[in-house]
Amino acid sequence: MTSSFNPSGKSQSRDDLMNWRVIPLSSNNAFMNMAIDEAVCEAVASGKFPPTIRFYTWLPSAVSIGYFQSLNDEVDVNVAKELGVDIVRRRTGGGAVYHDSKGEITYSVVAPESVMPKGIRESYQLVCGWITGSLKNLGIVSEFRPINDIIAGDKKISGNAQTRRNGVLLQHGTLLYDLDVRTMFTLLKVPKEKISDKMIQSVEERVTKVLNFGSFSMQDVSDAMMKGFTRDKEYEIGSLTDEEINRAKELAENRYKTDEWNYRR
Amino acid sequence: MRGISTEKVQGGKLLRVKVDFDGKIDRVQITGDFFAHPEDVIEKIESSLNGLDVGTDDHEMRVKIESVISKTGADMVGIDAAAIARNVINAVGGAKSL
Repeated sequence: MTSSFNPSGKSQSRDDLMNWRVIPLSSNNAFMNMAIDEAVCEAVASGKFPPTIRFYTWLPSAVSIGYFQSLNDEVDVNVAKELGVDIVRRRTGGGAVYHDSKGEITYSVVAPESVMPKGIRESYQLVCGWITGSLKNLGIVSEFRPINDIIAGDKKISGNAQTRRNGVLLQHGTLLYDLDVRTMFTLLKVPKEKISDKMIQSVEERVTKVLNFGSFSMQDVSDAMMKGFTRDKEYEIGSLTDEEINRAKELAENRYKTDEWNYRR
Repeated sequence: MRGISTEKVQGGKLLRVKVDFDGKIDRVQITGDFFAHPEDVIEKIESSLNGLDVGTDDHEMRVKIESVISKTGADMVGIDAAAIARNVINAVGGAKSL
């Protein structure tokens, strides 16, 4: 670990920019989580901030839908209201995800495109390699399965999504720690008659979680991810600046909380 | 009339196309769990299909979509022009009156 990050407003050299800022695990609501990712993208795009890795959970639990999905097609809004589950549209593509506040850890990676592989598949492979490395730190063997999944024991344990705007790559994704299939299916729009034991069994045959591989705590997983994502990097443990937090609050109110954004498809 | 067509593209992602039409296409909505950069390519494809005769064949529709993708310089993952064209035609073919 080196000392490098100085958000002084001065543009940094390319060498400085390769020193990563790493923001340890914190909890936010869905709107702020998505807004923070975008605010960090803007900060990195400005050239004044280093590439950034952030770890977070969702409080309260939430459903995020992919940029191109229809909210009404994917989520039972009434059930979400009953359960106090937030719903937010992501800036990234991919599918609807149930983010249980105690069931997963999400990461985001924000970096100039110039320091990441040009190809979408290659950049997925790179960042997903940091997740397989994290799992290896827990003794769990896993592998990247294109387009955007990681599998362990032949079952999906992590889903990931990426976008690129203004010369900056954003990839975020989740590592499943625990999985409440029944709650997930009451929220995500699967016809009720299909939420049978057979269906749940079928999903459990396709999806797995860290707890299936040992009695790890969330802190164990968080530590393993910190180690896996920072391996072979120059980095500094950091935090969001006031500027980023204020911008995120603005984005949360004006975009991520609005029906105009969430129901746009 | 409105039609909906859904397909899990082979080796790709889920694609759902909704089409409103009355002789000509009035509105197309493309949704799913695919990826596209820049994202506005999807809105451009949707707009490009408005006004098209519902009898437009698969080849012509695909060429039109490919042209939008090419002009936008977009990178699409999990779906392609052929899948969109195929599902627009399927949506029209299976449509019901609104």
